[in-house]
Amino acid sequence: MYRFISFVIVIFFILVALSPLASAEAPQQQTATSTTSTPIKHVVNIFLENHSFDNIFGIYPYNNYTTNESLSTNLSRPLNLLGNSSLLSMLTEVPSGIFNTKDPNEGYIPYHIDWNHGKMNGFLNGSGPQGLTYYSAEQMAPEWDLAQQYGLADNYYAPQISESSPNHLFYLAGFSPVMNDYGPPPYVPITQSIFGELSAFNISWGFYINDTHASFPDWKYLSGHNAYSSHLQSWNSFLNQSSNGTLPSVSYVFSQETADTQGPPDNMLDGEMWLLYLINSIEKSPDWNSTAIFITYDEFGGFYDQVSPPVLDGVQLGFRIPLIVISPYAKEDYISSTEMTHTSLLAFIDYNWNIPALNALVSYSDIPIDFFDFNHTYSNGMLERSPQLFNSSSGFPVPSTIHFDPVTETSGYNFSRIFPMKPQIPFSTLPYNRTGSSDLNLSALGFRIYNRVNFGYTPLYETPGFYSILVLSQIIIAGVIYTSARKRGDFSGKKQ
Amino acid sequence: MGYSSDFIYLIGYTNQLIPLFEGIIIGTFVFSFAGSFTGSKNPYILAAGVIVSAVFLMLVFLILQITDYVVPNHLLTISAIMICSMFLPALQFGRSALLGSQGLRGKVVLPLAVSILSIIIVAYSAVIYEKSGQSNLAEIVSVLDYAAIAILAAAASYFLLKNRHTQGKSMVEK
Repeated sequence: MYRFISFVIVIFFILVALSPLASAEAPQQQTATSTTSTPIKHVVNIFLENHSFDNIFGIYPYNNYTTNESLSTNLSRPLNLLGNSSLLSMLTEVPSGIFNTKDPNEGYIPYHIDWNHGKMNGFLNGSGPQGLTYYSAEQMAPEWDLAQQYGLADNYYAPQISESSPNHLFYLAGFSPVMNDYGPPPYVPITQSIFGELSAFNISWGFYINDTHASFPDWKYLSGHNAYSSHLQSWNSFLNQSSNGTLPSVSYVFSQETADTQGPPDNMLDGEMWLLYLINSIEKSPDWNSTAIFITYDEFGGFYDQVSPPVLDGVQLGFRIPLIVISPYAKEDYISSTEMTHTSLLAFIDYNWNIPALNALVSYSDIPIDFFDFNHTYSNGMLERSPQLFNSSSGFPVPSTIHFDPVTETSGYNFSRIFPMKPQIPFSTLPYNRTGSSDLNLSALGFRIYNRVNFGYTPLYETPGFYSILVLSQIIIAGVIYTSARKRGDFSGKKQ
Repeated sequence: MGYSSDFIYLIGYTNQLIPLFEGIIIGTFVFSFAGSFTGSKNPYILAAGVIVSAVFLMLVFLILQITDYVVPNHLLTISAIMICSMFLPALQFGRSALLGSQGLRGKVVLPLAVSILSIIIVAYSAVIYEKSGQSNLAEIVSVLDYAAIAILAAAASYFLLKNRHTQGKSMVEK
């Protein structure tokens, strides 16, 4: 009996100790595909932090200082705050010269209070009054210009009503084994992520962060990443590859773990400067003519948004966040109302390289294909648009290096004069509508599914299952005490 | 236990710090003293302590599931009290199996020390967690998880070995 108990305890401890170290499934080589469904040969995903759509683009493209009627009449009302003056009056415009606001309460609980089962009226009690703000062209003109020159989604959602970890995992792997940041660190085998799939199909990819020596959370989440360590590279490597025209097929560029994320307490200006430097370097690249850039945020950060998030294939999506799409094939001044989330970006990659949908959710996610026009020939005889560089001489805050010192004194900055930019192509000559949507997804196209089962996990010692085992062990201990006392005759009327 | 039960998911919301700590402080003191004063070698009492604790912990788990982890303040206080029920059997075992009977002073000093130390550990973890930007909580507190299991296993082993030794002696005497 005692041997058995000892054996069970030893096995139990071994299981608990080893569970986080479970290795990922060995990568399987699949048939390589050399062709793409579109002229896009390079996808660059850029990831920022913690802002809702309404917080950054709520009043886009309204600008106190400049007007452009042809621009403003074609945009996303009624989802735009401009279409709801009573709502707008309850929010606070961030004053001129201010580029960051107090961090709203973040987390699964405050976000669910904000959401209030879709009523979107719990912000005061949840994330707090500091989340009831919105930026204007005075701060956001550089980003608004990117949206105006290319495309902006007004119906794009974070995958979860929660904070970073689960949303980051949806961005990388299309699912998450954890519900928020407070709990255990998640583990998703890298083979279950888009990176595992790309490797399996011999499609090149890179994971770019500021400092490859630092322990980067998103990389740590991908268990088995050591076998792919050559893909973990620095921003400098990305810039070199960009200037040499040797960008991989798929690049993930992270602002995280720096002051450039735009998530409070990081200010918006540093993030815009970083973004402009990156976009300019890609537009100057020999790879520009075959590149699509997707800029988005991990989640809404507790900032107000008016749109109740929908459900996608049984998954309650999180709050609305911005997505900007930049490409020589991107429609100009385009607003996409395609219902999307982070898995839509994965779906685009799978669609473009003709590989299976990463998982079932990805297969049901609409692809951001309506942003692009692959058929139009421009006046220069080219299918693609010329690069639209953002110069510091025109008032854009383009730094001299990507590793610039964070700007701490922002009171002198006001960008309202640089929005809107002159359209690259006169709107009247555009062969497409500047609003639209698409319901194209991989499931409808008959793509097979790569990961039929998602097996991301949480270490055993940090799960409710472990909790149950502890409770059960208490009951067993009680039983052992009872049994041994009974053997001793403690139940025959003897007193202690 | 708070970590393994997912209760830990609730601690990142600073607006609920007061009801959470109210529950932890009340629960720690109530169950520590209850455990200390009811600690005896009577297996019924020991088993009852363990089962009461198990029932409370299951109730907490149920509350978290039913509310989908969005727990109102009053229920959060009650849950925090209940999750501290681990102190009841822990102190009962501590007194009966490890320390033996003591006077009133001993019965008061042990739970008082345990309660204060526990609250300090929880508060310390909270401060470290907040200072680290609300991340890596697992690395901060998972060691406490192991410590809890180790203490539980050590107490159980000690009790079993002691019991076995007593049984052996009585067999020899017979």
